[in-house]
Amino acid sequence: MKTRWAASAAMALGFLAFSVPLFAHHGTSAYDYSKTLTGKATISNFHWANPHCQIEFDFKDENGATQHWNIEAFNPAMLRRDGWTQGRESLKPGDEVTMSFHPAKNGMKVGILDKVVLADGQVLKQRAAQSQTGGY
Amino acid sequence: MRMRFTGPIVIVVAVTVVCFSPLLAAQSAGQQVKAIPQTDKPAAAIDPHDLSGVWMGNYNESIIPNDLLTPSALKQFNSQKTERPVGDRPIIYDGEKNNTDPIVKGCDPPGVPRVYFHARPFEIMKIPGRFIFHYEEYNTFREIWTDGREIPKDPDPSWNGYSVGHWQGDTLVVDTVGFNGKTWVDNAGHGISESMHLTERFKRIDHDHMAVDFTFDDPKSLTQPFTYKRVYTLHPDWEISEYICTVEDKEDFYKGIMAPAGKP
Repeated sequence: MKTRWAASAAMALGFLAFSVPLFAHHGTSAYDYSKTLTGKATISNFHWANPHCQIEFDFKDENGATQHWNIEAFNPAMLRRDGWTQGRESLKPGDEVTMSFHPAKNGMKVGILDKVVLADGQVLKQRAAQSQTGGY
Repeated sequence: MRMRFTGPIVIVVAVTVVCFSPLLAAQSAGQQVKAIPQTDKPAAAIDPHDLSGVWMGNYNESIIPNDLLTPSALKQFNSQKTERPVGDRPIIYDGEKNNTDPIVKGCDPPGVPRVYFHARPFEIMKIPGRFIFHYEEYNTFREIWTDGREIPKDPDPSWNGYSVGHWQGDTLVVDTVGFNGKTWVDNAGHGISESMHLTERFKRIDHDHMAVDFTFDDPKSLTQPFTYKRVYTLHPDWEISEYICTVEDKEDFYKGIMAPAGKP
């Protein structure tokens, strides 16, 4: 009896782990929100501009191979409100960070930011979109 | 015979419903916004006729229920192509090339009321005879005349319409006509016709919150008027930033992100 209820709880948790709500943004039905890639990254460029910022970086995958990625983040005004107080200086070419992002479904090396942890431990993230279908 | 897995199935369903119910609730068009959180702080005094400040709401995809659309409006809605999933419409990922959203395919302004439904703030300012609204979304400006003038009978068509407002007690009632029919009500693609008469009712609930009720009366698009209610939150420490649409910015973003993400 106890085993069966423990199995039920495990099943429920397992189901939830694969049922992450799709907090998608503008254009983000192209991204796979069930995957979050996290790893060491070196910033090559930070494009601080409307309509959306772009973060370009070299990323070490789980095999240690280096990949070059470009991901989108919110626009400058929103990022500032979410704590990116250094603005365009928040990320500089050469910065060593830990990047977390959701990749494109089609395998191209583009994606959308989840959060970035700077060398000094500061965490920069963006608020989740407030609609399941996207936009911000 | 009693099912052996009834118990586990009940647990999985119950947990799923509990976790997803806020999202399911948020999906319904015309939703009432969730209750304002209560705090122990004493309520700050307000002048209910003072709507000044920077206000922020949530992003919304779809405001208008499809079962209120006229046949031509429904046809127009179903023919739109965006990169966001909306009902059964095909999703296109190819960036701006085949996108029919006027604010994505080019730099058309979102217009009123769509400016309200992006998660960007707006500022309300009062000067003699009118309110000035400045929405961060495409730095949209709008005047609401409060000097007693009537709504014009033959307004020049415009993106934001022509607005007049008057107080009914503590509610500012704003009537807007004169839309050019080129904008969407919401981000899902429900269009506005030139026959739209929009009524906004603004009421300051407390120091930090303002209720806005939107009534859409558009005989060419809707079979009956429809009211949608929202609550906006005051952000005294926020400034409205510049957000101007430029072709160069859009092309940078298209090349860097949308084109690669949209490759089949």
